[in-house]
Amino acid sequence: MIQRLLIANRGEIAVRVIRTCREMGIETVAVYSTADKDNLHVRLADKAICIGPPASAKSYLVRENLIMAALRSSCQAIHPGVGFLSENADFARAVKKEGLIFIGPDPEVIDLLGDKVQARNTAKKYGLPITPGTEGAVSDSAKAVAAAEKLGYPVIIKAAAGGGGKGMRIVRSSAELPENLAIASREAEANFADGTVFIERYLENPRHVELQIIADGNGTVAVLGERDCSVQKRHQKLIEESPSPGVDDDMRRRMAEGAVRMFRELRYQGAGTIEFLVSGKDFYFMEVNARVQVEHPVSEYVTGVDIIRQQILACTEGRLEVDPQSITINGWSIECRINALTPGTISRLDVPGGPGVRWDSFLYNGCTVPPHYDSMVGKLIVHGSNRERALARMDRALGELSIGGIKTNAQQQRWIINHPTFRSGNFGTAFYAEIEKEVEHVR
Amino acid sequence: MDDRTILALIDKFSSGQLVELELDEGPLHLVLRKESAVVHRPVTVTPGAPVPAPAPNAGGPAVAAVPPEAPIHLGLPAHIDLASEGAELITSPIVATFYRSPGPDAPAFVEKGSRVKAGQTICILEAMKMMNHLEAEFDCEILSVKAENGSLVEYGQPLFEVKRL
Repeated sequence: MIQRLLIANRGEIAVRVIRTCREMGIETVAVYSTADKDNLHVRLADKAICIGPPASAKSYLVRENLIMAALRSSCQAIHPGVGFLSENADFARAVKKEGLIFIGPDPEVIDLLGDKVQARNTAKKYGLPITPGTEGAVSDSAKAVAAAEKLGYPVIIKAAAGGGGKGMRIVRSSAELPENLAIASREAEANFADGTVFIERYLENPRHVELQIIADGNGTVAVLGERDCSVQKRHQKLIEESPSPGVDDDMRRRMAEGAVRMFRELRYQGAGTIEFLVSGKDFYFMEVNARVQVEHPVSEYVTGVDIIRQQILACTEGRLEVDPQSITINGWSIECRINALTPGTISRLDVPGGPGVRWDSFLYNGCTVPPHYDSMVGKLIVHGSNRERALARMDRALGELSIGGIKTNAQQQRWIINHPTFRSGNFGTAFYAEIEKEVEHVR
Repeated sequence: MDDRTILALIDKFSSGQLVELELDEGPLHLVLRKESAVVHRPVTVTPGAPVPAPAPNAGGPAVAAVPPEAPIHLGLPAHIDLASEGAELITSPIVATFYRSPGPDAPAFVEKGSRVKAGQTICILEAMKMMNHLEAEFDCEILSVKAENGSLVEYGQPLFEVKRL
């Protein structure tokens, strides 16, 4: 067992890692920017080192400062948390080069999964379905129409070199296709100096479903059930639950088979998530997040497995404490992300409690929420024997939660979980946009 | 609180080490603040050529030091006590190992009482096997050395207490 670990992160996830480390008898070293000097992770860690001014680019993202802090405080490993450098292969490489353990998969694996085209091809190789589309580039409009008709409308035209919505066009009929193809290609050329485009079937209002994976790097891969993260505000997840109301046993089994094969072949080490888009009875590989995720606690609740603990054991000792065959999913768990709508100082904090309620946060009475970082200040997670009971518990817990001094989205979350569509379990990633105007009036 | 108590408080505050005091009592809101006795100066770090250095290998990756930011107000260790009025602190702009001399047997760049010219090296901050020369930004006298040779220094940590010349 390692003796000391540095957490290259801040806020809630840093606190989360410290808690498990303390239970494992591992000493922790926190790092902080000058804006975070009184942050809870600094107070909870055994040692804390100031690494720079408030701007992340000059503190939490400066690899040299992080690695120096770890080396000089005699740490054996670095946990990158989520965000910041957690999926940066060069950082992982630099950490390893200094003889430290990076709590995450191999840098080559991070690189491969970070490249969307390579990741897609890898998933396909291990039998996971990918969104149907043209194999290569399309330029001739007659061929494009033929391909689109074969795929079925609506289709989406995407720039091969693209990203960020540039060069993307949704097309609903053959009549609209030639013109849009030309525009998308011109846009792609203008933005990426490469006018190559391809066509994929466009999924309307799909569910976002992901599998939580832990793997020991030696071929043992365990699936800790799935999570449904379909409630998203412009791709930012707001509410997550496990299991997913839209996944049945057959789909669950098919997803897991391909994912386990893929992670085993990659010799994946630590915690990871494989994301899918689900449309009716079909699912399509989207991407892999090669790190622990914000919403991991819902999987912890339904499986009883401490994911951070398994991640540390997998990466430092190449082993897991759980047998992949004996994992069972118990009951239902839901997480609401509590986001700050304004920065400020916490003047009052009442945290919900009672059975089946978990509050993961860096807030304490009197602490400051600086304006420099992610707006998430806490996660409220509940567990119940079924979805209905879990929702009743979440409603009760959100009612108990009171945060003074800053504005948060807590009551908006309460409104969403009581919305008939959310209650029905029948919704996709377009749900939030439909209710956005109403949500924003909730105070 | 009566006037006499307030005056006594101001008296105590003036002679003491506190730099700021804020008090709320009923309708009274009292703020006492000293014109900053402590001025934090940004310093320049020159990622210098490797020198005959305390650490044997200087062939690490070429990493640029973090450029220093405007005056540091937060994150400073609390144990700052200045020897005299008008003194300034030179703080570390990076997380590094602090070396007072260019080599284990070499004399220190500066000692207490040394008078240094702007641009003169006052210490080495070793980070990722790069020997970064920390240079004085202005002519000054070293009043005291605040960090231990060979120790880890964090961002914003005081290294020298100096007086401008």
